[in-house]
Amino acid sequence: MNMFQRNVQFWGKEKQQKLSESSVLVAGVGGLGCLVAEGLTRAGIGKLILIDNGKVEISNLNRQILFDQTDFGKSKVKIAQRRLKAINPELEIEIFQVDIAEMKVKDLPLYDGIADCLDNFAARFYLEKLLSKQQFLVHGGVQNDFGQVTTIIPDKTQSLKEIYPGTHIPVSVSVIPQIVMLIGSLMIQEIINNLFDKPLLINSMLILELEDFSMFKVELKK
Amino acid sequence: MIKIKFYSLIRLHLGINEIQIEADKISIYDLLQIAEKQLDKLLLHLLINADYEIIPGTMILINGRNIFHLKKLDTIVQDGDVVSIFPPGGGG
Repeated sequence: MNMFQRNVQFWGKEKQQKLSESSVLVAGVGGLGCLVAEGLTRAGIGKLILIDNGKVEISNLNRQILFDQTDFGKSKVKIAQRRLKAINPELEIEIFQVDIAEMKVKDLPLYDGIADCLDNFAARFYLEKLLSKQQFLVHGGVQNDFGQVTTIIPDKTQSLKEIYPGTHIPVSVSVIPQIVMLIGSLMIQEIINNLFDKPLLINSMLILELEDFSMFKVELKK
Repeated sequence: MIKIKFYSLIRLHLGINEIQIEADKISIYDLLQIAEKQLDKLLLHLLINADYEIIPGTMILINGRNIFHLKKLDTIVQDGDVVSIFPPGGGG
């Protein structure tokens, strides 16, 4: 018996093996990034690359589930690495405490796809420059009690810059923990869908609204 | 018939998921003016500023494409088109 027994009972050994051979770059280790990184770890991902320039602050604790009161002032990626390794010691993790705008593909190890857990659109437009044709990016965004998820694949979908032109939203948005956990969970599912070559949100944006428990898909045309 | 679908804060503000407007070959700006009258609720000021620009953080899609890449508020919509309007969540 191992920690992934219940996963294997559901999706089988072959898919569990596939996950263990997969790697995902998690851009932004905030609310969504913590959730996505932990969810992928518990799902059995083989390797994570974490990028975040930040240090833990008290205002993070309503939603950033890898951090606690003992972490203030410490590097987010270092704390996240320690917590994730404590969940699965076999998980391979590489961390980069830098701004996403400073990263280039040549500076990074190989990855199968990207989780866009960033908190502003300018950084997201930099991030998608790290995407090659064989890779996917799962985008998530949250605000107040709503959020959205979609998959970006070069040549198959619009880019984030095409979807969100002229979008400018302040970095410090209001947000509650439950929408972060729900959108993060939907991102995990879509990342795994992509790793299993069955993405569901190609040219389609899933919007979740907690106020009346609504979920919609908006068509996006390539 | 042109369908306008509302999501997120705008849907909740209007209290309606979508409306249909009998129109053909009119600008998105004119369509939104008709929508505002038909809904009898303020809509335009949520989407467009006094300088006739789309407010940053507002998505207006026609058949899945952002009007920012078309002719913005002068983009022509026609019978059968679907317009989707929402503000995206920006945080992470």
